[in-house]
Amino acid sequence: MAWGGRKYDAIVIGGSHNGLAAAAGLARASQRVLLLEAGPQLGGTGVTAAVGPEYPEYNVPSVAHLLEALPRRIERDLKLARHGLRLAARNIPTVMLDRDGRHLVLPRNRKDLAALAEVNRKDAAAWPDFDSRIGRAAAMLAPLLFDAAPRRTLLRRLVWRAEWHGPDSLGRLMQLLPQSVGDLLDAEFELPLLKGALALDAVLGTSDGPYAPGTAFRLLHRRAMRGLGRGPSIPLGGPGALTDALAAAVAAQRGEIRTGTRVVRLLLEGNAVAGVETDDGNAIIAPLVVSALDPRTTMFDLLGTAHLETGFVRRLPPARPQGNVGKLNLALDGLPEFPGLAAALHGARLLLAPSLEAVEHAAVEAARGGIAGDPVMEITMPGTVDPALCPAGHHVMSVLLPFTPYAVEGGWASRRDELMQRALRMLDQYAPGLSGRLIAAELLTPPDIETQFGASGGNWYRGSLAPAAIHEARTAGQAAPVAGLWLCGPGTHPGDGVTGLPGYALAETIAAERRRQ
Amino acid sequence: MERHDAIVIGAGLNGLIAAACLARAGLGVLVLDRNPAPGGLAASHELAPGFRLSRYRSGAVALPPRLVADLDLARHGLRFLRAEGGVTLFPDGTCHAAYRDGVVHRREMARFSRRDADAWTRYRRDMLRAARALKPLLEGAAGLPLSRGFAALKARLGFADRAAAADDEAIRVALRLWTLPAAELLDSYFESEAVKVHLAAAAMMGATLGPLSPGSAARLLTPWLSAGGDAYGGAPDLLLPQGGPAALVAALVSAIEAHGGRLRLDAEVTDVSIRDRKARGVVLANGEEIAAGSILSGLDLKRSFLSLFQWKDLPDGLVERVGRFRMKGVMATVNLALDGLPRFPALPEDCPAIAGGVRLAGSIAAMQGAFDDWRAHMPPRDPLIGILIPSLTDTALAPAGAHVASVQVQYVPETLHDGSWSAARRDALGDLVLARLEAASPGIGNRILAREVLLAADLENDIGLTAGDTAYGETTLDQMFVNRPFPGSGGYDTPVGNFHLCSPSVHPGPLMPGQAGANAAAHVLALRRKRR
Repeated sequence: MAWGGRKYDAIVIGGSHNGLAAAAGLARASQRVLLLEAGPQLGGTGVTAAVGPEYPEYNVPSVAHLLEALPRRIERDLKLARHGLRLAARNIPTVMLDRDGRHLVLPRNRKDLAALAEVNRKDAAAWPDFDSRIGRAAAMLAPLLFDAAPRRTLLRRLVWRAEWHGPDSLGRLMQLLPQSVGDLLDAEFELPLLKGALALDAVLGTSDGPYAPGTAFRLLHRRAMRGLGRGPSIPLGGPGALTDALAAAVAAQRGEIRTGTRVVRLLLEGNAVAGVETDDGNAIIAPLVVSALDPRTTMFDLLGTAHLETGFVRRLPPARPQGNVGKLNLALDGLPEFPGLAAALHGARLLLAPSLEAVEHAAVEAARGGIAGDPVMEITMPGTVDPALCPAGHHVMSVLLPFTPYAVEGGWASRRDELMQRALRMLDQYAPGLSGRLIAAELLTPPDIETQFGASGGNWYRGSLAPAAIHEARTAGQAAPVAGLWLCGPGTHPGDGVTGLPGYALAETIAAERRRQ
Repeated sequence: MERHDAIVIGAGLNGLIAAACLARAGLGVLVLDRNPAPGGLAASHELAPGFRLSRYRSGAVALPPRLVADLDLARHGLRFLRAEGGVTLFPDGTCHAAYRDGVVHRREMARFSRRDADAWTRYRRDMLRAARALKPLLEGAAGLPLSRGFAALKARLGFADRAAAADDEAIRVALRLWTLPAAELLDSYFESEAVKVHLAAAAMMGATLGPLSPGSAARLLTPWLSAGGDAYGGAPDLLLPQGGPAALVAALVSAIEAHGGRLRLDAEVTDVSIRDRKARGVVLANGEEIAAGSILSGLDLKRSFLSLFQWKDLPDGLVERVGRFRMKGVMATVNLALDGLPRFPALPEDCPAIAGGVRLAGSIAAMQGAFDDWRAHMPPRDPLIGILIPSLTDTALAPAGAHVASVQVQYVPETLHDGSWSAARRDALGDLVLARLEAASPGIGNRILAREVLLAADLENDIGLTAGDTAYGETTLDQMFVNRPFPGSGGYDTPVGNFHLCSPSVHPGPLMPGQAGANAAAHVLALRRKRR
């Protein structure tokens, strides 16, 4: 093992969005940074690639297809626009697809609300109050979710905010937090389509059905998350464009990025980190190591259990559950026709969840290791806002398949076709003739996503956080048992749903600590 | 017109406790019940000549010790018996027993996994700590005042400060306990499926959640809240009233009467009369009117408001809010009179833990499957079964040598998706349960002298409990503590003046039997003092 001289102030392990944001943040604070990624490419699941090797001209977001919450702070501070990030569509609307063509937009303005009123007057009347209530509750919670201030400050702020919002708001919040989204929606609305879409919004990415307690909180969490940025957006060039922009931001501050370099262990000097050892046998020296890997991987594999106390191990965020969101990517020889869908909405986020029962059914089926007969979906057609993705006149479709179990009964080898057929049959019901336009189709099950994109357990959809995880996340990052080691991987504050924020917030914390010293 | 200081509607456990507390404080109390015998859920029932048991709810009724002392129930003839542990029998013929002695209990666990036996100490410590933290909250109002005004705001800020000051570990345990699925919480302590199923099966009895539903972990806490919880280092014991729940009822009635209170049975309240948004009295089925300064309802929330009032007299929106309060039936009961003690070949000879109940459970996945069936309103295929033989601890309940058994069948829907609970289906359920019992205890079928199958609907018809929900409302967090029965409702007060709830439909619900009645009485007494 060769010991090189000290060239770096900090090493970041892992080239996910978090790792990149941490590296860019540290580099911005004039640290000499080296980022090491084990795989051949950066960005984890944030990749744009061809639908299949034979169809290089049809590019599609391989896994993640929307930027749900790119915090304004990161966009601005890291000058991502200057580093090439352009958004093809910002804050895109959500459309609830209806089988009979009476599609509805999740109301954002009076026009949407009027359209809803035509279908169900009562729900349209209830919407503004519901929406503002959820918004207020999310705003009350947001500091607790994303802020790193001491607990006392945050809780007091919550009480004061509640006071500001009116005497009932704290009581409402106390009930909302542990409620199930199904019960919440049943009390408010009648329209199955509206309830199905809102429920799917809450539980997408989790294994919980909409009647599981605590799922209303996930609706709040997602709302709060979106409030950090400018709503769900489609980057020009797909999600890979964000990865490229973050990498460019690192490079612009003279940070260094090495892919294909796996860190095998952390080097220690006494009780402090001294650097890392890579798989090619080299030692790289730095007084500061930031790991964007799973905290358990970092602690058990890189640091080693000899340095850990039992109590500390127990406080680590629990092992991530297995993923249950699959992905279907389609190349089509024309725009699929959803009868009744306005042309302006082809670039929207299309939710296919006809009712609460459909979502519940899919969840129960997945929990038993099965595939729902009528899968629920989230669909985008990025080609409509970003024509460069595919040949002119042709289109690509990107479909999330929630409640696709990691371990399916009978094994995925024998049941891939079944899922593909069911999904296509469902799509054909909403967009007749779609399968006739099919050029190529690619189905990624959670195990596929694990092997191809390195998402452990195939758990890639970082959309929501369980309530207990928030506290655990808050304490996880600060608790590293050796000096100079920091964590910003999955399960660290403020949670994985937010693009790059755990990494960037950590870089800010470190920089602030440096200044204090 | 007849007039009393306070009227309690419903002579169930909590109604009687509220009445006893009020009578003891010197109030003139009248308890009204529509049935010919007091007790409600806890009423005594003779299944066959000489075989007595509580028809709807057998088992532990661990009244808070302070309440037993305050009401001097021992002087009124109440004694408690301790029953050990509990046993889970698995389909493969193995078993897991629980013992109150820590050493014995850990040795039992070590049969499955040595690591789990070690983890027991940690599990027990965390559970006791969480139970201790919870107790003060159960014995008073729900903690977080949501009313307007400076004092309430100050209290809320104080609450926030106290919550912030708790150490990370305590917050972690509490958050995990109240939000995680039971299976996930158990995973973080134990590795053996048998150990996890044993603990989860006991916790899921009566739950409207499955072991994989978020929030179901809180059910694991219940046995630790009772008095005998932490005595010997092993599993918490059950406290059974000697003579069954009926003896508890008798002691309470005696306490009420000793303090000058009165009970009127066969007296159904049909209306509560309101004047100026305040309850002034009740109207009985025979048209008789009785006036009272305070009226306490021991009925569940839905029945209290939806059947005792003219809806037009109630404040706007209240009927809807009451309607949204979730009450769901989840259990059926099969009561058996046996001519001898059933033998369980899987258990060691004379295993004392059998007195704490025998549960028949498969796996976590099977329990969740049964829960999913229940949610889909399907007739149970593989329900979770708990058998309690109270005559083991209390020999007076059955003739010498004979026994009574109460079999609780968990995850039995109140209504079916494809029709109704016909007599044939009721029998089919009884047969299904007996087949499971026969498998666990060969020959039990020949020992049965009498059997009855009771469904949630029977509870609703016989004692008027909505949906037959013995928890008086789902116990998920959105219906517990400050949220029970709805947020900001202030617990024991209702939007109707002078009308209070004292059933487990209000805080602390079924978490501690009898506490809702005691708290309601304390609240009413405090109000009267303030008014004076």
